[in-house]
Amino acid sequence: MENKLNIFLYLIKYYSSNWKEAFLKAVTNNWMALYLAIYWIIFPIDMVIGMEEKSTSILSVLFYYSLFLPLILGQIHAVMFPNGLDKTMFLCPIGQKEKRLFLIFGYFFRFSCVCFASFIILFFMMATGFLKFSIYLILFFLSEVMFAAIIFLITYTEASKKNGDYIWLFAAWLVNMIFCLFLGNIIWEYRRGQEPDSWSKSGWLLFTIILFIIQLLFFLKVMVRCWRKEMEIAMNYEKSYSFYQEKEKK
Amino acid sequence: MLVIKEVTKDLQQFQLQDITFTLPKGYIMGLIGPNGAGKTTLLHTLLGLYKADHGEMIRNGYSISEEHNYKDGIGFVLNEDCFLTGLSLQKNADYFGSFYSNYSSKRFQDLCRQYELLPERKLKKLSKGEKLKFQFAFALSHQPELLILDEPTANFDPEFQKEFLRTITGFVNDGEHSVLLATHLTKELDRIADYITFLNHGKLVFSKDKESMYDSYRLLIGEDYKLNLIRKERVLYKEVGKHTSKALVYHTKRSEYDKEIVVQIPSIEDIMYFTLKSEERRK
Repeated sequence: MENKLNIFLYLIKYYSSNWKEAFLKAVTNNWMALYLAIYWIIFPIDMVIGMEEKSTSILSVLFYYSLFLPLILGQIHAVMFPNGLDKTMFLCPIGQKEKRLFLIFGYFFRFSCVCFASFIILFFMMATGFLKFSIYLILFFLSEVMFAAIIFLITYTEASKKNGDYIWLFAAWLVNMIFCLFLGNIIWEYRRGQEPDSWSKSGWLLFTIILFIIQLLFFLKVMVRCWRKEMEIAMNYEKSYSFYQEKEKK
Repeated sequence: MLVIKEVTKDLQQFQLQDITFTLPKGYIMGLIGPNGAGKTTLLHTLLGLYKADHGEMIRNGYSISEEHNYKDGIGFVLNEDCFLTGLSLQKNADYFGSFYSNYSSKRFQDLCRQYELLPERKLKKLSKGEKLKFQFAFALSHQPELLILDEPTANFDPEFQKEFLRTITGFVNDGEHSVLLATHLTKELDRIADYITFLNHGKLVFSKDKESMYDSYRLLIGEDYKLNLIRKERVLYKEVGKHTSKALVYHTKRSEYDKEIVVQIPSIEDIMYFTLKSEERRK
């Protein structure tokens, strides 16, 4: 029982103890660099294509980028802490049920960080009047949060991944990217005060919702497919750590 | 009491095969073997990091499947990074100690003072030897019944090595505690170990109490032609020197030796060395 009370304490200590080294590891990770590069290159292009106004302020560009901050934070976080349990936890007298509880809490702790960051940004945007509260904006953030949930699950036990698992991650990323680009454009149109007059407003909304539902189904499919497997791997020291040991040897 | 029965573990590049031994309460067991013999793999399996493919591991009546009870009485010192390196020693000990039923923060502080460690220092700022001292202090602070130690002594300074050996011999004195110590420094084991378990290439060469191990072998030193007179099946391995040769032979109470041969009780190092040479030759 006492062990269960330590869950939060453990998570806070785990996430705070190695953050400097882990952050360095995250930002020097090639996959991470590629991921960031694609985002940082695509969105200026998208902005140039999407915006016809010439008076783009630095603040609005920063705000535009901040839309993707939760996701990037989530990604850095996932690379920083790829495993749910520290090695010492496997050596301590903790039963299987408690380990599972730790892992589930760990996952939601990580995930809730992204939700929290998303909420702060959303609130800040609305409070400063940068963006109006709209269904598009909510869908956009929900989409980000869903993608973050997938990233966290698939990279939770990154150590033992086979290439096939990354196809799911890539597919999730692609779906999210298309959806965000699409929604980003609409949000930007609103930002400029130009509602899509040439479009049928309800038609675009319907199309957006259909896209969102597709993404939601995809999200559920990945979660159902990977949840049990990921948790089992994370609970197994050999599967979670052998990858790193082999890597260190190389 | 630790009972290991027919433990097998396949790690693809390495296999631990059919390991069986018993460590009674109140004794120290030395785990010896060359590099890559499987000592660390065996200890990782005993600590539950690796799941054995086959076999039983029971500590004081608790099987390893009863993870909580089995691990609650085990203290460990591993020759690798454990614990949260960004936290202080005290925070690490208090946090991980909270999982053990007998952990005492005060005892940990006393041990830190004894081992000249500052509890408020961060773990990552410690040297390799100090990290092992910390692990040792933590292991003792939750009052385990069994200590599993993986080659800690090589990184200790000579003064602490003595302190360490004194501590573990004192630890088993009450007859309720045991120590399983993997080490290359066999001279220490000659002095303190009660049982010796010898591994090579993942296989058990032998596991016996030290006295019967000493009774089973003799180191003979003498002229080569004299040693050649000993029956071949009794000679484990013979090393021919320029003037004299050395041979490790199986010994019984009835064994008799030529008067011109020097007969010595071999050290653990001698037994390990000659046994390995003998296995090499056989291959």
